[in-house]
Amino acid sequence: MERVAVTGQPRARRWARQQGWRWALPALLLLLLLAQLFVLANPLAARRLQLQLDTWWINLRWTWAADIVPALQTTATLFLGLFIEVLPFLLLGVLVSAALQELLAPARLRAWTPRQGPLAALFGACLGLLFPVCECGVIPVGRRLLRLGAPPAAALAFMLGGPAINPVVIASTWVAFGFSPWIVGARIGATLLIAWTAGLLAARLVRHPAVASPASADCCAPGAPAESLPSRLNRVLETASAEVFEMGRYVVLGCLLAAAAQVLIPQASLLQLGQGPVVSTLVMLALALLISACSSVDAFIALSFAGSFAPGALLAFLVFGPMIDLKSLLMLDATLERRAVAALAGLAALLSLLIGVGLNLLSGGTL
Amino acid sequence: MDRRTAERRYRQLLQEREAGQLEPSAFDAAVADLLWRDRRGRIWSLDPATGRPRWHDGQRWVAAAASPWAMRRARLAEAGVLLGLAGLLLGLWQSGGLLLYLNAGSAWLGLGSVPLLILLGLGRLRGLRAPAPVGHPHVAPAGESARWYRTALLAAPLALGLLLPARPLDASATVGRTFNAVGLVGRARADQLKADDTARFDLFDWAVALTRAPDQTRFAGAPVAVEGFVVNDASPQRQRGSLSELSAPSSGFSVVRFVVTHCTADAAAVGLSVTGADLPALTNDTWIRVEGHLELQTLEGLRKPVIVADRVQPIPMPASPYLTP
Repeated sequence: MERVAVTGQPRARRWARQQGWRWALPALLLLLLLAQLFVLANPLAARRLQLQLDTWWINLRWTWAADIVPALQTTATLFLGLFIEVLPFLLLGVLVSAALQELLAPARLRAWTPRQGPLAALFGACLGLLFPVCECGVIPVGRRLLRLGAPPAAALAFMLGGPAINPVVIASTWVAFGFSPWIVGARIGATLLIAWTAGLLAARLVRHPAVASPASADCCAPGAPAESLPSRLNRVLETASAEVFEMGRYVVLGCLLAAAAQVLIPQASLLQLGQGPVVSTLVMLALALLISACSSVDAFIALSFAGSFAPGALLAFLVFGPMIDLKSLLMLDATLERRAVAALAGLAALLSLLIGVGLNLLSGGTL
Repeated sequence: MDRRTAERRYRQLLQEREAGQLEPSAFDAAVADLLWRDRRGRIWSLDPATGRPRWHDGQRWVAAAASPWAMRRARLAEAGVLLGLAGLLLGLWQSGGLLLYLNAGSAWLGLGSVPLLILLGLGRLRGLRAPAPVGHPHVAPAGESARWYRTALLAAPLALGLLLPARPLDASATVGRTFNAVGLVGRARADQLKADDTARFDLFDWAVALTRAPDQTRFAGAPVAVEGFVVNDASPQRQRGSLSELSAPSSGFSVVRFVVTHCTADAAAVGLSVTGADLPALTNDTWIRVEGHLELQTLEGLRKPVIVADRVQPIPMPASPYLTP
């Protein structure tokens, strides 16, 4: 029990902090002294520097007044718009996730899910057909599936494919690209392929399926203790209301990042980067990451670029956007080991790029 | 060591174990070393399985009381945030503010969250009377500070919604926003637009018609009556924006509107420059109705359309400021 009193790491940190402050004051004084010497030795240069600083300060104040305040207002409007839009999907996601936790026995889930990697990944990639929400809802459910003991390949493929392979998204893509039906098929096919491949490969990096919760679900697995249905429903509410905070923080941060990125990195500047088969696909991948739009409407956004971008770039946007964006990256980071997240994001980007560039070269740039 | 340090170290160890850098037995041993003493001299540690604090009664470890005041307070705050968000959405819906963030056709999405938020908020409140039993970690174990941190993050949109008056996207948001109207509607809507009915075109119809028209001269002289907000042509927004893709900058201003498919994040700006003999001086973001006719002006070798205004009338902002594709 002696170690109770020993606070090695905090003490070291405190010492470092104290050392830092001990040096800060002399360093500041030295800086002031040097500045004073510089002014005395070079009055003309000092005057120039002062004028330059004044100009910067005036510019800074002008920028603040002219740009930053409206930019902040725009960021707030974009952030709230995005947050209000994704909130119902997040809430649905955590409710389904909690219901799975409380009402579905892990043994039954394991019995339903194919165990072999390739089949499991295919099963996961198609699971979105039963759960038509965007990534904000899919990731909490995928996370729960992992904890309940589903094969990692199935859960990862679901997290990647679910946001796009679902009835709502397929219908909206059809409405948007009805004049080029092949792009609807290409979106489904490419998403399946990427979700299957990336899910299968990245699953090897998931070492501990029971990710955040060391004590797995068995403590209150359905069917284990005899519990009434109302009691289980209460537990669904309890778990869901706790999980909404667990996952919601990443949604808030993701929406904030996406809103800020839209203001700080104008779309027009991205579009000016280039129109070649490779660069245009890269630009659309960056745009998908940046806009972080809900998968149910991204087809309309892609359509708005139909006149400016080759079909391969549009397809890359449609395939990559629902899988990986700023929100989903943060949510995935809270769900999986970082190397698994990096593998998923990297593979999704690489395969989307390859498919997009390939299509650009094959189609000759026309829809 | 104090509780906060122990919990922080526990989370680090948990991450190391998840990353495969730490064997489960080494993890348990490391967690067993995370001990601290409270003011009453009791020795505390963290349960390696759940991360929950427990104290030693001399013979065995006893789990911490399930619902101390701090826990109730945290639950109350969480319930407040969830119910507050429901209230905010209801308030925005009632005041029409929801239409400043979402397309009118998607406003149901905002309302759809309300019953779910109330349900979950009540779930948190219910837990005040019947706290969750210790050792029921269906969500990641979190220390008190982590719990407050995530509550604060989810409270951020609530605070923003309450403190900042709801405002639509305005002239400043047109900077750098892409403009390509034809894609927003596909081909169907463009085919429905009739060249002899231009007085009923809104700015989006104009954008679609002009972008898709093989020969824009067929619209020369066509009557125009559109509503939108002002972006002065001399303003940085107009200079740095992408409105010039469609309309020639004039010495006057542009009348602009955003097209929102779902929420403000997917907004695209559409607009036309306005010129005329006696144009009033208008500041950015003033809502106006412009009546006149369309003319094609040559700028840098390209012919671009401009509204020649007969009448410019300030109007209040429409209840739904965004156009729908």
